[in-house]
Order: sequence, then structure tokens, then C-alpha cells
Amino acid sequence: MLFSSTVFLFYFLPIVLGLYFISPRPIKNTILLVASLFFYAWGEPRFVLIMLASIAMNYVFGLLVDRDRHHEKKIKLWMTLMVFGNLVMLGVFKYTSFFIENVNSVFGFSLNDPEIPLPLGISFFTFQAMSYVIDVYRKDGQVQRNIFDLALYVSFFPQLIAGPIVRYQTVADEIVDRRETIDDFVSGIQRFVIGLGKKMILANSAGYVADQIFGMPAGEMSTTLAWIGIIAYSLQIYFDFSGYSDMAIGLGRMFGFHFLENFNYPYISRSVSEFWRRWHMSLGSWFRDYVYIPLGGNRQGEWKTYRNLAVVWFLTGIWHGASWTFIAWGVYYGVFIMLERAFLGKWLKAMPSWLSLSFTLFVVIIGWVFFRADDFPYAIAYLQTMFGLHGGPLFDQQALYYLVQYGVVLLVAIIAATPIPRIVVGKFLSQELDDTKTMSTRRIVGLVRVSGVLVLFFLSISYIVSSTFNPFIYFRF
Amino acid sequence: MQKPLDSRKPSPRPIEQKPKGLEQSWFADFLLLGVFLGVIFLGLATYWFGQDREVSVLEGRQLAQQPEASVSAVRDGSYMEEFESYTSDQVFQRDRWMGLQAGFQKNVFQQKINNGVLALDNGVLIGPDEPVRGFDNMKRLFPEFGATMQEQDVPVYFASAPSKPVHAAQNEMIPDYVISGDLDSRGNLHDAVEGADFELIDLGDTLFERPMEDIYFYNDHHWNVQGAFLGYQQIIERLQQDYEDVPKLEASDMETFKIDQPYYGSYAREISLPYVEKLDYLEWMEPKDGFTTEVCRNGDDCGHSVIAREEAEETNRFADFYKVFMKDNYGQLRIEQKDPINDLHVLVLKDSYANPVLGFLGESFGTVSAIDVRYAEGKVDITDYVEENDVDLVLFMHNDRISGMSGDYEDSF
Repeated sequence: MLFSSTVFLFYFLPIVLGLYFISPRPIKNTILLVASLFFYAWGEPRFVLIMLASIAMNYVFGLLVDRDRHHEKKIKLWMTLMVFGNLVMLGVFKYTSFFIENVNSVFGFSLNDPEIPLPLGISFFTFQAMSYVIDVYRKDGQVQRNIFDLALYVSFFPQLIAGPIVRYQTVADEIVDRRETIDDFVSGIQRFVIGLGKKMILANSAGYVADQIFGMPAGEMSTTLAWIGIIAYSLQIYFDFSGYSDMAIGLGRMFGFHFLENFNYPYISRSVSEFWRRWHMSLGSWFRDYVYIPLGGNRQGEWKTYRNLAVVWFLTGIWHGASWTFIAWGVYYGVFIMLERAFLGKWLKAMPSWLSLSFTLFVVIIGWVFFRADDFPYAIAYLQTMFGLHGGPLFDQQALYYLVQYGVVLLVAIIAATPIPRIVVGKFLSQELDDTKTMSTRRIVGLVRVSGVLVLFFLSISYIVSSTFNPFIYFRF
Repeated sequence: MQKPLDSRKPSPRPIEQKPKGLEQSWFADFLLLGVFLGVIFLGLATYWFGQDREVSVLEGRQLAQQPEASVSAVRDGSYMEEFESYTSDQVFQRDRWMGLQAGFQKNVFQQKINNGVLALDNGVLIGPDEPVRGFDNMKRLFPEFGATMQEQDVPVYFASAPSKPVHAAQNEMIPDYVISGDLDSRGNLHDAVEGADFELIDLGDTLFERPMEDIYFYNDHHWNVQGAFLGYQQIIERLQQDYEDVPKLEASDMETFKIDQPYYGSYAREISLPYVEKLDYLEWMEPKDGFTTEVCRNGDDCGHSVIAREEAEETNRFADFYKVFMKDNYGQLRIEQKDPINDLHVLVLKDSYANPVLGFLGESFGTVSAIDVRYAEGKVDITDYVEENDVDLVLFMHNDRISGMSGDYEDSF
């Protein structure tokens, strides 16, 4: 079930909100757990069992780790088994086909691909469940003896499918003791609506352009069209992902949970390292705290630091998908991060901001080609077209079409990807909190704020409904 | 990936902190709370207590109904898919939401194309298309059919009406940025027709000179009755060269009738109403003394008029008033003069562009038969039909977007 669907907005959400807020405190978590399992089962009924197995396994490991934390051998065993168990589960469902395909290709085998379907959100809930056991081990969070509360942490529907990856320590206290307030609820609505608007209005519009252009043979498009396509995709993936994170954060807040931020205007970064401090922050910090630092971080010499970075970025790539293009994408970032550590970072700092920003944006956009392309040959061909190496024209009628038809929405999206709207709107809205302003001024500003959110809400609904417009027009031959 | 990694820093806290003094905004906040909850609960209440709609006239299709749950349907996920279709189709104020989206897209994002339909500056809606180069099937089928007709000594004519995008392209009304291969497609069709030695009657000769607004609907893909009448006259003028006895209706012989309710045609419904700048009012023409013919639909359903006046009485906002012409698209029609002025029998192989023309043709020929191969139930063998019904001439009556009909013709030739 998607947040941006009528079944979620007008069926699931009102029912869950209604049940949750009329229920007494002791069963609120049960309501949320049942709702979350239902939410997950809606898309993939059979895969609920896999998620429940993951929860049960990590629940047991949590208890074992807590019990044996003073027995060095035992705790090492439990932690090893926990990591192994989770990675096996993730590996079987996500990487079996990829593994078999490559083994067949390299060794000339003809192993049958069992074509195991990928459970929705398995990368997210596996990482969350691992974070629980690791946090217990590190005493960053209390062991959870109530399996239902642990299940709620892993399966809580706002962040279940697309993150952010909520670490156990972040919400451990709120699972057992939280307060829902009207202020939180209202700010949750605002955040949810902003995310919905990002997804429906900006991400989907940019996505349409990207899909059309990436659906064409790379060698048959003009250079300008190729750039329009990848810029549109860069906007799509940002607004799609950050929109989902906003919706998750907003929904969480409605129920009294406070998730951490996941995006912070990544496209204004002045280095690739900074980009990754602003992009999918929950994944970055997960790899930092649970992989990079346990490997030794940067405290065991230069060589090991680079080795650790290589491991982390290889894993980051493959976490995103079982494909060499994702691995290449991760390694690509790893190389730039290493270069920045070696010397590039200093150069970028010394450059004028516009130059370092342009450089970073360029690197990121090129990286998205690997992320978006279905395979390597297409990615390479697309890059060749972007740089005029395919012999195609610089500009053509199709590029003109996309510029005229979608130019305004892409421009709006580009501006919205920067802090400019936030600064401008924030400056205006700050009057609402300004004690030196009259009460009526502050109320008017408040009404303007709310009106803006409601307009965005109605527009988002209109985009959701219109996405199902399906005319049967017989004359279209 | 955060790189200053020498110490485990506390993870960042949420950026949005509740600012002090927000209690001043309680009214605004309660308004937001009330409207948000009101809208989502209204949506739920409409599903539970509202009347589900059977069809969407705007979209021209059946709407999904609430599915019945079964263990197997839940287990394989089909129930959930159907339920999502149901909630999408039955969402409250569905047509208005779509209108809001289209209006926003048009006025804020300045998009002149929606769902493949382009709003021209003069208010005319068209659906430009990529060029259709193939026509390979027709280049094979038409000569075979032509040879068979030649054996039966039945001449074949092909009246080719320009579609709206072709007219727009011919008159350079399509903006530079819009890709339109419509003129190329029309050229390819004519190549196929001439390659088969059919007599091409290019109705563009008459219609290209006329302003688009005079001969086509603003908001529908068809020509209007004025365009159809001009097309009819050109067809008859050509046929009179071979059949001197065929009379031609003149504009002065005709009386025009108009439906007062606006007509939202196919393009209007596809692009959405906010793009509709000029309204259409459907008109039809009748000889001042009335039509002299009787229509049989699909065989023996006889006694009908070429004008289905009952369709003009429709009150639904999105009523398809084009049905005034012949009532609908039928696989077979037969129009006979009650008191034949000649014994000529013409077989019209047609699409819906021919519907307003058929009534006029009926005044010129003793018998007009019409076959629409898209709607013919079962296989209609046109060759047998010509032979068994003493057809004197065959007239294809199409607009130039017929490449998709080649399969139907292949079954029928």
C-alpha cells in the first residue's frame, strides 16, 4: 500500500487514526502493530511471515545478547549468528538471482534461478532489526522483552517500506512511553502533506519525463535530451525519496513518534562527502555506526581507512539493488570519497562555492545514470550521448518538446530542491511567532500557512486521483 | 556517508522543533486539523455510505465495484488489487479532483498537452501523433481487394477525410515543439490507396481551405456536420463523373438543427475540462422536406431514421451527442429510399467519420449499405457481401487514422 493512494488516504489512515485515538493507552501499540502488519500484508500477504520470522529471530538474539553480555565468547557467537542470520535472510531473497546469474556467467554453469520474489522493504526492516540487537549489545538501548513492542519497532507502517531506517535507540523510549499532542499531530499533518506534494506533484512529473527519455535508445537522442532526462531523474529520485521520508516522519509524529531527518537539501552540497551527509542520512549513519566504525573507521592508519571506505561503499551500492549498476554506483561514490579524503576535499574547500557546488552536482548527476540505467551498456551509451560522443545532434525537436511542456515544472522542482523556498517562506512565517507583531498579523500569517498546506493537500489528492484517469476512447487507432 | 568518524557522534535530532509561541496559532492549527481529518473521514464515509457509481461518462468506461473477498483472492493478492481499483474509481468527487489537477497543470505548469491531447491557441483540441509509416498490411490488402472487385466489375473509391491533426499540420497550426507525423501518415495512407488503383477522393482538397473551427468540433476528434456536408458534396461531385444520375444535395436544400446543451467530445474528456476554452454545440442538417430514407441496423432492426433525435434529448453533462448521427457505430447498416430515385447500391466501408455523411448519401443513392469492420459481429466477408447484394460501387469513407483497422480489414476482405 502506498501513502500516495486513495486506499491509504481515505480508508487505511482514517480507520487507524480513529481506532488509535479512541483506544485506551494499553492497547495503542497493539492497534499500531496490527495496522502495520495489515499494511504490509496488503501488498504481499505471504511475506508477512518472513518479516515475522525476522522479528522473532532478532527478538531472541536481543535476549541472548542481553543475558550473556558478560560472556565474551557467547556474546561473540550470538552477534556473529545474528549478523549471519540477517544477512542470509537478506541474501536469499534479494541476491540469489544476481548470484546465480553471475556464477553461470563466469563459470559457464547453468544453475536454475529459483526466481525468489523480493519481499517489500526487506532491506529496511532487516537493517532496523539488526540495529536493535547491536544497540542492545552496545547498551544504546534497553533490551525489549515484549516481542509485540519489538515487532512494532520493526514493522511500524510509516517507515516500513521506504525508510527512513529508524534506529532502535531513536524510538526505544517512545515505543513504551510517548505522548501524542495536538501540536505534534498538526506538525505531522504539515509534514505529511509536504511529503505527499513532493511525491505527487514534483517527483511524478519529473519521473514521467525521466521515464520517457530513459525509455528511448540512448544512441538516438540528442545531447540536450539526455541531459534533460538525467536532470529530471535527479529531481524525481530526490523528491520521491525525501517525499516518502517526509510522509513517514509526519505520520510518525501524528502517533507520537519522532523520527530523525533523512534529507537535508543534498543538491547544495559542496563535496561528495557532504552530499552523503545530506542524502539518505539514516542509511549513511547506519553504515557509519554499524560497519565503518566496527571495521576500525579511520583510526587504524590510512590504508585500512581506505579499505574500510571501499567495503562500506561496495555495501552501500549493493544494498540499493542486486545489480552491477548499483555496485558501480556505490563504488563510484567510494572512489570520490577516497579522493576527497586524499586531496580533493582540500581543493574543493579552497574553490569558490559555486565551483565546488557545480562539481559536486556534476558528480552526483553522472552517478545517477548508473542508478537509473537498466544495465551497463545502456549507462555507457547514455553517458556518451550526454557528452556528445554518439554523433547525435546537440539539440532536437524532442528536447524542445520536453523543455516547453515540462520546463516550468522542472524549474519549480529545481528551485524546490534548494533551501530558497524554505528561507523565503520561513521568513514570512516567522512573523507568526514574532512577539513584536500584533495578534491579528500573527493569526493572518498562521492562516496563510495553513491555507498553503491545505492547497497542497488538495492538489496532491487531485494528482493521486488523476493518476488513475483511464479513459476508454475507442477512436485511438 | 558521514566521514569524520573518529567518535560516535549522537545522531542528528529532528530539524523541525516546535517553536515557542505557536500557541498563538491555535485557530489556524485547529483549522488544519479539522479540514485534514474532515477530508479523509469524508472519503471513508463516502465509501461506506455513498452510492457507488456504475460508469464514468467522462472516461467512457465501467467503474470498478467493491470486490468480493475470498481466501484465495486475498492470498494471491488479487482482492487487494481490485479493492485499490475500487477505491480509486469510487473516490468522492472523482471528476472534480481530476479537473483540479488539469487546471493546475494548465495554468501553473503551463502544460498545453495532457493525456496526449494538445490545446491549440485558437481553442481547438487535437491529438497529434507520431508518423505511421507501416501501412504494409494495407499495401498488401488493398490491391488484393481491388483486384477482386475488378473481377466483379465493381469500382472502388476511397474518400479520405483529413483528421483534425492533419488539418492543423497542413495549416501549420501545430507548435514547433510538438512532434506530429500526421501529414506523413496521411501520405503513406494515400500511397497505399493509389497503389491499389482505388479512385482516391482527397477531401483535403475542399477542407484544407476552410478554417478548422468551421468544419471540426473544437473538443471532439470528428468533423462537424458542416465539414461532413462539404465532404459529401465533394464525394458526389466525383461520383457524378461516373454516375450522372446521382443527385447532390445543396446547402440551400438543407435545414440546420442544434442541440442547446454543450457537447464535450472525446478530446475534451481526455484532456480534461479546464483545457476546454470554447464550447461545441452539436448541429445536424436535414433536407427541408425531411429525409426520405429508412435505416436497418445490423440486419433486421429496421424503421429507423438516419438522425437519432432521442440522442439529442440526453441530459447527461458528458452525453455523446455525436450519436445523433445513426445512433451509434454498427457493424452493418442499410439505408434505403422509401421511393428510390435510382437503383444504385453503394457499399460504404467506414469509420465514425462517415456517420454524418451516410444520411446525405442516402438521399443520393437508392440503397446505401455500410460496414464498419470494427463492430461487425463475427467475420463479414465483404467480397461475398458485394456479390450477394448486387453492390454497384464500393466507397471507403475514412479519416486518415485507420492504420489500426488493417487487422479488421484483413479478416473481412
